[in-house]
Amino acid sequence: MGHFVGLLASGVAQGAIAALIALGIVLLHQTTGVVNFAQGDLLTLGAYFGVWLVVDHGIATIPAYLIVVALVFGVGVAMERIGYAPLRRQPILAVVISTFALALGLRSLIILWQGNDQKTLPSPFGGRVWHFAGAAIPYQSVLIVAVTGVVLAGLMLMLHRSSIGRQVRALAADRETALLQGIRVTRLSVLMFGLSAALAGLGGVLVAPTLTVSPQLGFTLLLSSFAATVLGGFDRMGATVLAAFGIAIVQQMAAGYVSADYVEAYPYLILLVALVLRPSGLFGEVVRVRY
Amino acid sequence: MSALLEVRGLVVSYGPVDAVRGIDLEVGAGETVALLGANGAGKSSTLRALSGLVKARGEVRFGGADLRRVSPDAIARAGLVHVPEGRMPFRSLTTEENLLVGTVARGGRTAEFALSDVYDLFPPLTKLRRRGSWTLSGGEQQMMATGRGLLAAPRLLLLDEPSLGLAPAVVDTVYAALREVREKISVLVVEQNAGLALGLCERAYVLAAGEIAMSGPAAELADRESLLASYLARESDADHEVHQDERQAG
Ligand SMILES: Nc1ncnc2c1ncn2[C@@H]1O[C@H](COP(=O)(O)OP(=O)(O)OP(=O)(O)O)[C@@H](O)[C@H]1O
Ligand SMILES: [Mg+2]
Repeated sequence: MGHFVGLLASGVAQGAIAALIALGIVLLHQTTGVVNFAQGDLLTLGAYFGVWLVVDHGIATIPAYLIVVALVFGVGVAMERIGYAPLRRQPILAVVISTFALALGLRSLIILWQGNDQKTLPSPFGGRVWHFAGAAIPYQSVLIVAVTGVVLAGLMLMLHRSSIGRQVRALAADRETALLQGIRVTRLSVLMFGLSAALAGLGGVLVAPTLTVSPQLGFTLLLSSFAATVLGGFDRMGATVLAAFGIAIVQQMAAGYVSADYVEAYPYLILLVALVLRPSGLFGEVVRVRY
Repeated sequence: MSALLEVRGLVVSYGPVDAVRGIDLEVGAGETVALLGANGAGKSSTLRALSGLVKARGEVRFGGADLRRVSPDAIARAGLVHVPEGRMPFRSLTTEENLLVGTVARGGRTAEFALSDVYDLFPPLTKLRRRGSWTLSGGEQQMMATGRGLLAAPRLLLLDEPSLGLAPAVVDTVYAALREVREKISVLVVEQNAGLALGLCERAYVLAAGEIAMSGPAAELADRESLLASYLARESDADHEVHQDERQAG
């Protein structure tokens, strides 16, 4: 029982991180058409900003996390200016390729700045764990899930209750008509680049204490988030979040009960099996009814 | 005195094809004007050029300001508001959310029609406010799209075929509302249904193959029924229908 609960808890925590990355991908893709391959490296950057602020400068956890989110938001905005704005009249594929270039560039800059060595970001809770149903769950995992929950709720409120959120959803639904209704599409694109980067950066600083920080950190996590966006059909945010949690939980269970050797391959196995069974994505039916 | 909207020598080309071939057009403040024409005459292209969605040559002045090089969203915020052909609801938004998006373009202007006025104008929408707009019928979508345009506090409302594909009773509802709108807002309405539009408007232009073929007071055009009919029918021959279908499919 304790083993199962432990695996479930770590699956939920991993799922939360994957959900943050995946939501950033979906939000950006829906509003700008861009699939941002730099999303993983933005997560890495968030983790390194965390190390830099907390370890190197001794800044307290909460302000450090907030600064990280703000900094990565800024990097996202810069990416829009460098990799998207100049290419706005080019085919979207050019932009997607440019995000690839930006991802590699970002990773090189991180290595230049912090080197290739592994770093650690201590958890604000140290190594303390919460004993629950026979399992020892790190408080950092609880923090990950709690913060993700709050951020997701805030995001949903923003999208569904504010004028700016309505504009974002209108833009996602129909870009041309959004223009006809006076929505400042250019400005919203900048905001979406910043927001989706900030989500990745937050994921990075949250997950860093549970792993070691290396320049490849985000890339490995990005892959299972992509699996979630594909299963979510690339457009339904709720479905994407569910898929992110589902994949992570199955991944942890498989690692615990089957074999830990293939832990990084499990998301693809899940994706593969799911796509063979349901080629339109797990939630394709819902999409067809709604559109 | 210069008109609210002044168009001189407007040309819209799609590759080698000229859809609009140098038309002049004016809408005065407070005026209601119709732009009539058969399928493919270039009516939508004209409206899309005015609202900045397609590149065009020629001169477009709105409230005295030159609209060349102004982005479509800025044109909307300046009060030139375009309700597109096919109504184009934001499908993932509810009816009321669609209407509220309309207020974005308002800028500093006070709207002649507030949200409650739109519901008064289109009573069927009241019960649908929380419904997803993807579930609305064509007529309901037209009411919603028109309301969305009105909430933008337009100085000039561009309507592209508001009666298209609607049952007669629904057309009556929509046009009854437009007669109220006309009292407060300048309107340029594109129609294939000449009778309807001439009943609403003071003046009209008839577009044929991208050129203005006739223009004048609505009553005068209505009297020259057979000539008008020939322009409105001319391009909807079989050859052209095929062309339209291709465009729809592509
Ligand atoms: N995006 C486009 N690319 C190429 N050709 C186009 C495009 N849009 C319109 N056309 C062509 O331009 C011409 C005018 O089209 P337009 O849509 O302006 O006509 P319309 O008067 O609005 O017709 P309808 O009554 O059918 O809506 C047509 O021959 C059409 O095929
Ligand atoms: Mg048309």
